[in-house]
Amino acid sequence: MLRYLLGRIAGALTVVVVVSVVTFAIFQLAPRLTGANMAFYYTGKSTSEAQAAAVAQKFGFDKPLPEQYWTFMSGIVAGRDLSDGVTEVRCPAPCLGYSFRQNRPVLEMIGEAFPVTLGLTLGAAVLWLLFGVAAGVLSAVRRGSVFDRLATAVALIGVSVPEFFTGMLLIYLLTSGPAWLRLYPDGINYVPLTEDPVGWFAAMVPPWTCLALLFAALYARLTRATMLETLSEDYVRTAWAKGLPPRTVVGRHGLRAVLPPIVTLVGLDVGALLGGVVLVETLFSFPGLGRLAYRAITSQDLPVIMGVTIVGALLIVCANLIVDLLYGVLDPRVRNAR
Amino acid sequence: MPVETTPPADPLLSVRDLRVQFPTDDGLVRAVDGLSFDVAPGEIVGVVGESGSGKSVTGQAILGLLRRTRARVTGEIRFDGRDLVTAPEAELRRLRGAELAMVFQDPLSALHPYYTVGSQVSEAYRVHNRVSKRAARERAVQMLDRVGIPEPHRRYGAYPHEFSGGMRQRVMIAMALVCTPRLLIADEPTTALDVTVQAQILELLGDLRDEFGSAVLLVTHDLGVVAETCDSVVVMYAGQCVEQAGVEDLFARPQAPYTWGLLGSMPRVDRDRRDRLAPIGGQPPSLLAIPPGCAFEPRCGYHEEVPESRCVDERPALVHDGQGRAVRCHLTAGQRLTLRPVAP
Ligand SMILES: Nc1ncnc2c1ncn2[C@@H]1O[C@H](COP(=O)(O)OP(=O)(O)OP(=O)(O)O)[C@@H](O)[C@H]1O
Ligand code: SF4
Ligand SMILES: [Mg+2]
Repeated sequence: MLRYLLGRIAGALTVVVVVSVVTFAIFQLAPRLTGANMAFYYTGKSTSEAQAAAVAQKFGFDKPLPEQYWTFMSGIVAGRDLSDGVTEVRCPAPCLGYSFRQNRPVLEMIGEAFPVTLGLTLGAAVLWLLFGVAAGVLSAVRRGSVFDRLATAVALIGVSVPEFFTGMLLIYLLTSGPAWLRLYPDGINYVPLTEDPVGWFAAMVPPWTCLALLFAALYARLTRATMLETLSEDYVRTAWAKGLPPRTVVGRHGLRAVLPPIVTLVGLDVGALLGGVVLVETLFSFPGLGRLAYRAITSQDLPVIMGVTIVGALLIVCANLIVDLLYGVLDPRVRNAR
Repeated sequence: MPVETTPPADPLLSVRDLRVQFPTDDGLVRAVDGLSFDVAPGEIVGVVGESGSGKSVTGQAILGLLRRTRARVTGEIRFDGRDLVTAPEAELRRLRGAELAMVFQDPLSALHPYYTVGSQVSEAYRVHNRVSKRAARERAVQMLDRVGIPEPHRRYGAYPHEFSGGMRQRVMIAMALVCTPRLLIADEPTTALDVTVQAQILELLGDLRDEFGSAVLLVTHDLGVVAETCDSVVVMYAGQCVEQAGVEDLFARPQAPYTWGLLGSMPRVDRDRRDRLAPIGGQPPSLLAIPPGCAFEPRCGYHEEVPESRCVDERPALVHDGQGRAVRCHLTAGQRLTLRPVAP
């Protein structure tokens, strides 16, 4: 088990390094391809020629790429002194870059946005797991029943209706819809959990619903298919042959075997969402990582884009690592094989 | 050699005209097609037949395991007087594991990969006995020990993949016997095992029968196993019983041409290696279209002995002689006596 663990961690670290190199390379390449001055991506279009030259000099755009990469990476560890040609700033370690547009270290912005995304993702995950898995199991057990058909239809709608549509519909109905549905007459506004837990929860419910709808549908489909397959396994037949009641056969023997694939998927989905729930956050104007990235892209704020990308990649890698470890816990065959 | 027993008037299990049909895209698969046989209390009955003759399906039908599939089960399965085909599910659930148990063909896939073998055995005990977890655990360890698993206390917590094939089969047997059922259906319990382990498992089944008095329905395609272990034999062909007899009787005086073929294909130590095996020529019929006459007719070398091509047109009935023997063949008793190939 220990060797399995160490192997996985080493693998994860390698992936992080590769991702950082690729990210770095892409953001080096893009300005070259568009022919724009790289400095503009740091300070904005209104930058003067002289200022741009100063930025280029300070950031060392003329230096060989490996050296620039090294400077960027060592900045994460040691911090960096940066300049936009007008002001000198100290970006303390760990430094993921500095946004001269907003005059703040990127990491500070990410740190502020992350809890929003975390709350959104985890809350939605709880919802979609509860409803998706329950619906999937019931569908599988009562295959072909009215419930199964209804769940299939609802899931189909859930999968095919885009998030922005359900999101906008929700916002419209809850803020300016019919009076009995107008639960948020003052709009759905994010409140930090630490300030007002009840307000936080109330604000979270609509975006949770919007996110969970899509995923619950996907998970219901997956659970139904996996459960059907499991229920036809020999060991489930053995469970019936013992004289166990249906509840135990499905709930203990069936569900236990469905768990590993579901846990894997949850890990990967949550990992991916943690990097930013762009659509939902933007729609609801929640200040999470997704909206941060979206704004950075529209305003071409390169340091922020790079920072969010690397953090997002890191989160996905972490999620993968956790999934791998959980798999070892959930599947004794994997545990023993290492 | 086991002593030949004549089935008493009241069999423990009595299967009559059992039919199991699977509706498929290609048509109706008649996996079991009018099967009848009896099992007396404490008797070990071998079920032999080629692959696909419906042996496993029969076992599952007896436990009512086909109820959750699309299979259509008709006929009568009388266990201790109750008809299992029509019994309510709740009653079957009380019987499963407690009075009727089954050891499945492939022990690796039949054990849950994510639970320890010990917990799977003790679970089987706890379903039917209101006991504490500890008591069930003790019982499971005792059972694992009884079937010959070394260090049962330690192995209790091991997972199925950590066992060898023979040990897994022992776990399956321990699980099936933990509630001392009155009928154990063992579906090819030794097929995948090497000869030594096979012998041990068979001996174990015999011992357990003596100890718990359980009847055993031993499914196998190995007549050698039957000769060594069973009291009587059901010979199956295309989902039907073609012959049932006490084991000595069957080997000494086989009545059905299909049985003659089976015995002829049996490896024998006293024969030259080259002509040891003489498999029956041809293939069993497609279960989608079983011939309306005798199912064995296309492969039978004796159908010309029966007048008016009755073998083609008319299905022979399973005729009981009142002394525990039953044969399904149009040949007359006299013909069978003269036509039967003599063992060398
Ligand atoms: N669920 C099913 N749907 C359709 N056909 C089935 C199903 N289960 C079994 N059969 C068919 O029923 C027939 C009898 O199967 P069964 O498993 O009882 O054979 P068997 O005598 O045990 O053979 P083997 O010695 O290979 O185990 C086979 O032809 C099989 O294809
Ligand atoms: S009934 Fe006819 S075809 Fe069938 S086994 Fe007897 S002799 Fe052969
Ligand atoms: Mg079989």
